[in-house]
Amino acid sequence: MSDTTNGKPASSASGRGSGHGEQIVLDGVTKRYPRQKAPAVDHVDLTIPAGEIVMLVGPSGCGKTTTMKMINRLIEPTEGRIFIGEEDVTRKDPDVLRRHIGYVIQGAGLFPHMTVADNIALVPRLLKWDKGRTRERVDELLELTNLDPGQFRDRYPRELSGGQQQRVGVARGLAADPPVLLMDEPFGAVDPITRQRLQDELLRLQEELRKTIVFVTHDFDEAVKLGDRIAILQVGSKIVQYDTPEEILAHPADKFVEGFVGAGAVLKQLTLGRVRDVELHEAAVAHVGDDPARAVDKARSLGREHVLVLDDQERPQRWLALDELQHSNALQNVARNQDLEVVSLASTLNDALESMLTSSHGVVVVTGPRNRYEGVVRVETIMAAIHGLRGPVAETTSDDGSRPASAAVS
Amino acid sequence: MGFFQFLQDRWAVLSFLAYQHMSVVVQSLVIATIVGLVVAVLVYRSPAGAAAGNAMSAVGLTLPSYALLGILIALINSGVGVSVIALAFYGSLPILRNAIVGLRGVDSKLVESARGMGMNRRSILLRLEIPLAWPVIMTGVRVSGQMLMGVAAITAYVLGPGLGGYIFAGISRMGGANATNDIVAGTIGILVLAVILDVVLNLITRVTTSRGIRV
Repeated sequence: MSDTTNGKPASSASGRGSGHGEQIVLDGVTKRYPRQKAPAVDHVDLTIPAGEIVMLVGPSGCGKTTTMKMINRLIEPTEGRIFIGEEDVTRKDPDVLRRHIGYVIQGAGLFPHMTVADNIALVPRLLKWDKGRTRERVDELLELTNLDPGQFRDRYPRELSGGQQQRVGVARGLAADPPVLLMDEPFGAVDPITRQRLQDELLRLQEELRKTIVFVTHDFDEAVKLGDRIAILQVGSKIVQYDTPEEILAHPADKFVEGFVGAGAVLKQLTLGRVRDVELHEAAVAHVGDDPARAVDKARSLGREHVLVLDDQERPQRWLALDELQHSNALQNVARNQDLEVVSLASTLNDALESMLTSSHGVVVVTGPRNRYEGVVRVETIMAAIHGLRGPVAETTSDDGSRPASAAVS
Repeated sequence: MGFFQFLQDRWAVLSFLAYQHMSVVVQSLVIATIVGLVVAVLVYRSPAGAAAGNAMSAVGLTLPSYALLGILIALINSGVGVSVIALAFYGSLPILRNAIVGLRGVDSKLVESARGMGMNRRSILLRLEIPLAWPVIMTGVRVSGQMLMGVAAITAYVLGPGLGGYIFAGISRMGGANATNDIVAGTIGILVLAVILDVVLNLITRVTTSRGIRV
């Protein structure tokens, strides 16, 4: 069992989250249940490129979850082969295989009798990592998923909100730095605002980690937002169309896909625009501990009424109006505003616009990796970008009609 | 003789018998817990096995203890051995039932996520299912402990140790000197022991249950 102790390739030895994804190939994968005439999954061929997020979307009962669970063999395929990288996983010890595939489910599935740290450390312990390395990895993952280790390490799942639990679930899935992450409707059980944040965080994480992610959802909008590619499935896990979100929106393969895409296809294309695609502006910023007078001068010279306060790790804390900075110790202890509206570089322009509407500011703060401040987006920028998006999208629709829209399915 | 005078006179004997009573109950309870848990672990995963376990627990508890003792005496020489076997048998039944209920009650999503992380059957049982079922199992142990306190009084009939002997001696000499005192002292003694055992088991349950699932 040397495999369990060595874990994966050298990249994971550092515990730095540097192990990139590997390609997954499904080759004629079929699942038949006894006493059922039609197979639940019928000869699926699917190639998932390394480092991409592939969304499996379809109506309930179409076999999307079954298809995903065959990758880590929670369900054994009746026929066909599955490769991760070069390796045929249908011949591997399933427990060893699963320790190298992250698995995140709806509601996170955290063990309620274990602390957050113990939950995250489950797979590293199965792989017999030493204690110091495991502890370091737990803290690193908590940081990565925006949970302060000091505050959350020793809490129990029931002491966390739904969104926090789901973050821990993602951290747990990433614990042993697996090349592949399987996510089964992970954000289905949280409220829409939390869901949007979790989606943004996943995209931000993915920019850093470049895992191969298979993500099951029934929400087409989520698929468009998160997916590098989307596989639209019909009953029997028949792949009706497998393509980039842009292509599926512009050229739905048939009536079924059109129905799934829904009437708002043109508006949905707007969700393809990302914050990183537009120009960011500089806010007047100050750091905790700075001299308020200088911060005020700086803001005045930029012509701003508010100053954004950052902590020592460049993470935005709250907006302060200039008259709140009169006191010489106004920047000594600045508590983080829990309701501060923030979007990430990977957020859609729709999300950014929505955040502005909820906070009734004309700007929203943009953060990059590890929640570091990147700049602000203005409402004018978004309006301009939306105008710009309409044009090019319409063009690709007209000149690209010959492209084969559907992926190969037997 | 007044009751308190009686207690003072017989304190040495009474306290020794109480100690013996507690001792036989606790030892039988330990055996019962192990037996109940092992059987539960063997059957809980199959619906048929679990149903059989529950049925056995229900039927077993309706067996009159006197009848069981009669059979055991016929098989084994009377004495402490018979008492312990009978007590362990009765005691294992509530524990078996609660353990099956507790183990089957673990959310199947948690079990699946454990499998998805590469935990094998054994570590799922030891690190997920038993810890989560633990409060329910311990409730079974407490019910069982209360029941054994009473049954142990009856097994005194087969010369098992404990306060039961005092009660039976009193009953057989009904009307004689101190007969009532014998019965009352034995009964109150068993009540006191039952309360002490329950408090201790409750404490053990609290200490051994994870803070994350404590109510």
